[in-house]
Amino acid sequence: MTGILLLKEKFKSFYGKNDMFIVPVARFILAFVTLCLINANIGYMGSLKGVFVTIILSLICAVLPNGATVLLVTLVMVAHLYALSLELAIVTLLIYLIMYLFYFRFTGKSSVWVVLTLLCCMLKMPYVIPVAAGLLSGVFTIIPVMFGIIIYYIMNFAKEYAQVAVNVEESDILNNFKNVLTGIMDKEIILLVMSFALTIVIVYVIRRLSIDYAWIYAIVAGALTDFVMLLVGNVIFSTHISFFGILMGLILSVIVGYILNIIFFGVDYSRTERVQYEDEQYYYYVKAVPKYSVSAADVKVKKINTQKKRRVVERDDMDDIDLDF
Amino acid sequence: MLNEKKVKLMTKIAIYEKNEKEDLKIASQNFKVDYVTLHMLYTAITTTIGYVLLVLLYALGNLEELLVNSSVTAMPELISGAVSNYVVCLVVFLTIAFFFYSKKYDKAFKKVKREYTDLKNLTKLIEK
Repeated sequence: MTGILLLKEKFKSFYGKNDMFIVPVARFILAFVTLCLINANIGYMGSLKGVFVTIILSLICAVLPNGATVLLVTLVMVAHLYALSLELAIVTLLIYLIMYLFYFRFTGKSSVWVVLTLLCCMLKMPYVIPVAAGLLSGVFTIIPVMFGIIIYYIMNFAKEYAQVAVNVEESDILNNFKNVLTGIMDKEIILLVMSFALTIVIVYVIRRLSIDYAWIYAIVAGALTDFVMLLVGNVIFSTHISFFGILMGLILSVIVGYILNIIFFGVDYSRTERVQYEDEQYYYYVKAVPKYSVSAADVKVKKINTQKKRRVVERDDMDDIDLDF
Repeated sequence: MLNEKKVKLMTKIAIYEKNEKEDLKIASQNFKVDYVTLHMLYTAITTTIGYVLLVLLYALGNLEELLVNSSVTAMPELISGAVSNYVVCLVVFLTIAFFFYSKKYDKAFKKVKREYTDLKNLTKLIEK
């Protein structure tokens, strides 16, 4: 743990000196990785698949706010889906517009959770998201997380649809729309959304309690809730989420939650101070919990030159000299 | 010679103005009633457009059934169902918008009050 704290202090110092560059670089990396994964999964439009185009789009995301990343990622997805099927692209575009009109009006800042959820789902570690969202954000993160899951399942459906698209008659538009809408509405979406929503609420409520080690309890409770909900839901909804995947997700979410606890909420409960005092209007009962702080050893290397040997000159008359100090 | 207190206060105000530009704009350029009402109006418009798109999505998925099974006599029931759902949706979102933007304005107003206090202190320091 000391290692992580030292790393945190070094990062804080580095961030303090270079904050102008770190945020755009982080946005660039997030956008680049997400776009690369989207291209790898549903890259049906050749002109958008190139590395050069991806880099240009990521650079645009780096300089614009977080909302622009979500917008660009969704537009790229719609473009790829348009190359596959007009109906799928129209349905996807309608879903995005509905998401924007009903939700992002209120809290555009949490739109980054849409991209993070999509990224974690594509990297096969979606179970990290509810614990992280509950720790770092609020209850309303449920909605962008839900949108991220829906976008991921649209992508999944597009991959399956691509395999049967050859046999689909383009003129049978009504049937195609119906097939697309029925195909997107997977039972796994409902299970994941319910499980993640409950996990985020539980993690958020517990970590805000004024008890010692609230974050640790929140992480454990959240991970267990997610695990139980997914196992039970797997049986009830007859979905096929792998047990091994759920178990690995549980372990990973606890590890990530612990790291987030140290980075964002490193407090030392053993040195808690409790004081009480009053003024004319109120009595104050104050609990102060100091943050962990570890300063890196400031190592300075001093080179000590070997002393030059004095030449000893022997003089006969020095025998009688008294040295007074 | 530099007045350290003055420099610290001015730096604090400058950082504040840079980071809280939006909040300062909200609270200093609008009355609460105007701000909340305007955003409730925007919410009503976006909710209406969003609801129309939802209905369109539903219609695309069930167009065949709607065309085959619905008759002229069933139309009023269908339309009244859609309208009543719209009204419920609108009321819910307008309520959320009212509380959300009221809270946002109150938070911004508190920040502006703090900034004005700092500006008053700075004026006093300059006059000394």
